[in-house]
Amino acid sequence: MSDFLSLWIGVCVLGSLFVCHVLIEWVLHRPDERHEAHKVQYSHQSWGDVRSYDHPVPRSWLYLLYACTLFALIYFSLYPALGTFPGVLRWTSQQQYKDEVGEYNLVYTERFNRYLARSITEIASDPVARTTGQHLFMSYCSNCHQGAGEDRTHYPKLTDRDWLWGGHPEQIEATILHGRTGIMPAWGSVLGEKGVEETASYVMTLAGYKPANPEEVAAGKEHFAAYCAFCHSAGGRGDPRQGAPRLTDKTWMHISSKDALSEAGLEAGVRAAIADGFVNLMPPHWNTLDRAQIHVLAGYVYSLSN
Amino acid sequence: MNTHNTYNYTVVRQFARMTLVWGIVGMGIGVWAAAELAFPSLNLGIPWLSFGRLSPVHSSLLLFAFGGNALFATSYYVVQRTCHTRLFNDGLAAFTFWGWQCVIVLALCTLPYGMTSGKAFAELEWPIDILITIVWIAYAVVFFGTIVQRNTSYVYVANWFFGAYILAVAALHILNSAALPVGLWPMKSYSLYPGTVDAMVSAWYSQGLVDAFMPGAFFGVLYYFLPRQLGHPVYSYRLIVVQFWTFVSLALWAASQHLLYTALPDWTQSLGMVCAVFLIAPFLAGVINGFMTVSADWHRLHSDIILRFLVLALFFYGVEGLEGVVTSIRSVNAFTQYTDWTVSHVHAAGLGWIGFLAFGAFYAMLPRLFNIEQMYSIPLILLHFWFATVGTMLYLLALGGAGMVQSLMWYAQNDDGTLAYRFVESLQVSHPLYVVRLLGGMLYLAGMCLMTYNAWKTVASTLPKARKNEDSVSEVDSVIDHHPAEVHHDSHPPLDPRHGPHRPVDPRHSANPHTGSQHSSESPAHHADH
Repeated sequence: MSDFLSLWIGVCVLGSLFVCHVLIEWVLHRPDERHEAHKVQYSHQSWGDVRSYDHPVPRSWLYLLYACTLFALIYFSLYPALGTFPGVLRWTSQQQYKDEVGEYNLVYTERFNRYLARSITEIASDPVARTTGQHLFMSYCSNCHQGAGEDRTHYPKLTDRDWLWGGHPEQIEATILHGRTGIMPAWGSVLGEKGVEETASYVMTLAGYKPANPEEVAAGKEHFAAYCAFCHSAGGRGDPRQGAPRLTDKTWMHISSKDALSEAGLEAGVRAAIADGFVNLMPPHWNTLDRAQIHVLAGYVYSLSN
Repeated sequence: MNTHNTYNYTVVRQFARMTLVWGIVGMGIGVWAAAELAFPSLNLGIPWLSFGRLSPVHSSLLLFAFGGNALFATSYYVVQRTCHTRLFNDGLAAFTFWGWQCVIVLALCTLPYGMTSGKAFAELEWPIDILITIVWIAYAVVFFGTIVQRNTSYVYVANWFFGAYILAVAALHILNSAALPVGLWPMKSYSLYPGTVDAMVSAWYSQGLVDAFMPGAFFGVLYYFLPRQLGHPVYSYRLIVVQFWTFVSLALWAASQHLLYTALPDWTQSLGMVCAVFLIAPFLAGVINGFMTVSADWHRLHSDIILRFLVLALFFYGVEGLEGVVTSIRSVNAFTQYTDWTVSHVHAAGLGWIGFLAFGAFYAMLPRLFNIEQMYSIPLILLHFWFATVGTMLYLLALGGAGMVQSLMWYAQNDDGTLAYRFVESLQVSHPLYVVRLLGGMLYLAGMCLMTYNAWKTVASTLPKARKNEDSVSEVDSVIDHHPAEVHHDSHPPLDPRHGPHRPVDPRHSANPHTGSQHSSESPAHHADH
C-alpha cells in the first residue's frame, strides 16, 4: 500500500470521527434561534407542544458515545487499522495463528512424536493410543468411512480383512499418507450391451452364483480374459498394487447392500459397474495431518481388522 | 380538499397489495427451505427445489419484494403526507411499481434455474441488475422530486432515512453489481473485481443493504407511524439528528466486520470492527428515542395492538443491534461466525424489526389508504401479533442456541489434543432446534396469511360504503393530518354515523389512530370550534 493511500485512510477515518463529534456538539449546543426554527418544522405537523418534545440528548447516551470514541482511538493506536500503521502491539492475524499453533504444538506434539518410535502393531494393541487414533478417525475419516464397521456403498469397509490396496501396517499408513486413486474404466462402449451382459454373467460365477445361461458365461470368460484380467488377474483374484478388488468373494463395495440382497439386483449392479466404470478417490493426508498423527491413525485402522 | 385527489394513493395501494402477496410467497419459500434443513429429503430430488436454489429466492424475495415493496409503499405514503404534496410524477411513480414487480418476477424466473451471479443478496444476473438500476433512479427522482416541491418549510426526519436508503442502495447496487456480461440466455456475467476485493465489495454491499440502510429506512417508518399512533411527537428531535448522522457516517465503514480472520488485510478488518462497535451509539439512540416516545403511554399497549407491533419491533431492533455490536468484536466473532447464530441474528432484524414494523405500519396505513374506518377484524390483528411474536421468539432462540452449541462442539478438544466431535454430530444436535425453527417460521407465515386475509376483507367489505362517503371522510382526513393535536384533546366520545348501531369510539383505545379522530371532527364546523 502506498503512503498516500495509507494517509488517506487515516485522514478519512479520524476525520469522520471528528466531524461526527463536531456535529453532535453543534446539535447539543444549538442556539435558540435554530430551536425556534425547528418548532416551525413540528408545528406544521401540529403534534402538540413542540418544545417539550425536543428533549436534550440523554447524558448516558453521550457518555456511551465518548466511550466508543475512546475505544476507537485506543484500538487504532494498539492494532493495525489506519493503513500501514502497524499499531503499538504489532499484532497481526498471521502471528496470532502461528502463536496458537505453537501453543498447541508445545503441549501435544511431543506426546504424538513418542508414538513415532513405536511400530503400528504396537500402537494397535495400546488402548490409549487406539483411543487417540479413534478420535482422529472420527474427525478426518468418518465423513466417508462412517464409524468403524458401518457399511456404506462406494466406501471400503475397514473392519474386514478384505483390502483393496493391501492390509499390511505399512501399506495402510502409505494409503493414509499419500491417498489412492482407483480407476475402473467404463467398458460399455468397448463390449457393447451384449458383451457387458455376458461379462457380468461370468463375474457372477466368480462370486459363486449359478449361471443361468452357460453360453453367455463362456463368452463372458473370453471378454474377461481379454479386458479385465490385466487388473483383476486371471480368475478375478484382484491386485492390491493397482487397487483392483478381488471378485471371488461376496463383498460388493459399489453395490448398495439393498441391491445385493437379490441376485437380479446384484447382476444389474455388476453390469452398471462394467459399463460405466468408477473413479474411486482416497485423498492424501500429508498436508492435513503430521506424520505422528498418521502413524497413530494407521495403528487404529489396523486394529479394526486385527 | 380531497386527499385522494391531492395525494397519489393509487401507487401506494399497489405497492401495499404486492407487499402482502410477495411476503406470503417469500416466507412460504423460507419455511420450505427451513423444512429441508430439518428433513433434507423434502427437496424431492428436484434441482430447483434444492436448498441452494431456494435460499437465494427466499432472501431476494423478502429483501426486494417484501421489504422493498413495503418501503416503496410507506415512503411514498409518508413523503406525501409530511410534505403536503402529491408525488412528483404519477407516470414515473407507476413505472417504479411495474418496473419493480418486473424485477421480482424476473428473479423468480432465473434464480430457481441456477442463473445467479453468486453474490450474497445480489444474486440477480446483469439484465435484471440494469432494470433495478433504472427503476431505482426513477424512485429517486420521484422521491426527491416530491421533497423539492413540498409545501412545508422543513423536511420531516422520516424522509431523511428514506432518502439515505435510496441514495445508499443506488451506490451499493451499482458498484457491487459491476460485471462483465457474457451471455443473455442463460444469463451469465463475471464480476469486475478479483478475489478478495470481490469479497470485500460483496460484504460492503450486504452490510450496507441488509444490516444498515434497509433496517435504517424502517426508522423512517417508525418516526412517522409511532407518533401518529400515539398522537404526539417523537421524544427528541436532537437525538434523531445525532442518530442519523452517526449512523450514515459509520454504517458502511463497518462492512469488513463480516470478513474477520480472512484474506482481507488486518487493518481493513480492524477498521470494520471498530466502526461496528461504534454503531452501538446510533442503535441505542434510536431505541432510546422510540421507548421514551412511548414512555408516557405504556398503558395503551393493553388496548392498542398496532402500538404493540411498533414497540416490539423496537425491542427486536435493540436485540439485533446489540448482538451485532458484540459479535463484531474479533474474539467473539471467531466464536459465532459460520454458525447458525448468524442466521438467527439476521432474522432478528428481518422477522423482528422489519417484519413487525411493516405489519404495524400497514395496519395503521391500510384503512386510510382505502378510506375505511378501521381494519376488518381487530381480534385477527391480535392473533397475528401473537403468532408473529411466538414465531419470532421460537426462531431466534432455536437458531441462537443451535449456533452456540455448534461453536462449542467445533471448539471442544479431547485431552490428547484431538477434536472431540465430528461435524455431523453438531448437525445431529441441531436437528431438534431446526424443527423448532421450522415451527417458528410456520407460525410467522400463518400470521402473515392472517394479515393478508384481514386486509382483503377490509378492502372488499367496506369499499362501497367508503366510496359513498369519500368526500366528507377525505376532507376530515386532511384536517387530521394538519391538526391531530386537537383530536387528542377531544373530550366528546365520538359517534360513528356510518355504521348501523352508534357506538362510541375512544381514540386512545382504538387500534386505528384515525378512527376516533375522523368522527370527532366529522363536520368542518365542529373542527373549527377548536
